[in-house]
Amino acid sequence: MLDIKISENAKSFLEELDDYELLKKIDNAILTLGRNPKAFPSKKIANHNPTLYRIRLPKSHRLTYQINYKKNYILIVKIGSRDKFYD
Amino acid sequence: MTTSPNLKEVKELIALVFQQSDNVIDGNIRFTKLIFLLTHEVFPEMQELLKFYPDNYGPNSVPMVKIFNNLIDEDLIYWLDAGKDSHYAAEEEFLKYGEEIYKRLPKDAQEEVSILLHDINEWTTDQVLIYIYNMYPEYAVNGRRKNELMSPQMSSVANNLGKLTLPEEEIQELNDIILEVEQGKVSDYNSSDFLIKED
Repeated sequence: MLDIKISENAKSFLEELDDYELLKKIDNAILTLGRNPKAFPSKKIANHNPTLYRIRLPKSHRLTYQINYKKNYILIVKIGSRDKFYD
Repeated sequence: MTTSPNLKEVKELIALVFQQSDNVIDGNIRFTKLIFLLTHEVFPEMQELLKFYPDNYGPNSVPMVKIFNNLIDEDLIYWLDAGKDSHYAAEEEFLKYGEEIYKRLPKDAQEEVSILLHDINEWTTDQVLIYIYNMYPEYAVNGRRKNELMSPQMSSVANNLGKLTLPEEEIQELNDIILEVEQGKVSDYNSSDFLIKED
């Protein structure tokens, strides 16, 4: 089990989200990533250091995160609807 | 033949899936999961109609299977091969029907459908199952391959979708966020900061 950290950017998104069902799904996904950081089909973002991964969330949302095994945490970097992402 | 409103709605959904999936669906499990995700992520009003339940390979729906078989009987959907991993395709008439349905959707729904099917069609059937089992655990309870698919050993290999090249502006945005994190704009994640308690 890894510790879970969240950026201010991602936190703001969750605080402003008014779809409670989606919020519960995102919460479940984040907790799942803490248990198993490779739990979801993910794309590795090319040419980025530190390595970042992106997964799909319901309703065409995206979540970008970083895994730090050395310090035993995952960092939720960014969450948003697909129109706020480029892929 | 008179089509009941319920039957019509499910037929429309199935036509939409074939039309948006380049007219090939690889197998029953994959087809069922595509319909499940459409009803759970784009058209929630269809959930009551299709009554998905947790089956041996994740969510399944008796009404959907019945209507799918009717479409095969009506020669609107056919098997490309009858091997172990059956591929299905739709007749031209049914694809045109799917195209009409797509055009009638509001712009937002069109985008949601296209993005969902674009995402999922990049995935293997195992990856689709892994996504559903993790995101909708209530449908994984009877899953025969649940433990295998959700094990860290399996998922670290199975879930690799390759690399994603982003435009410079998004890389810059991510770098800015990480810089903020390094400057202390980060906190421990706590569900209760976002979720209200339900009675």
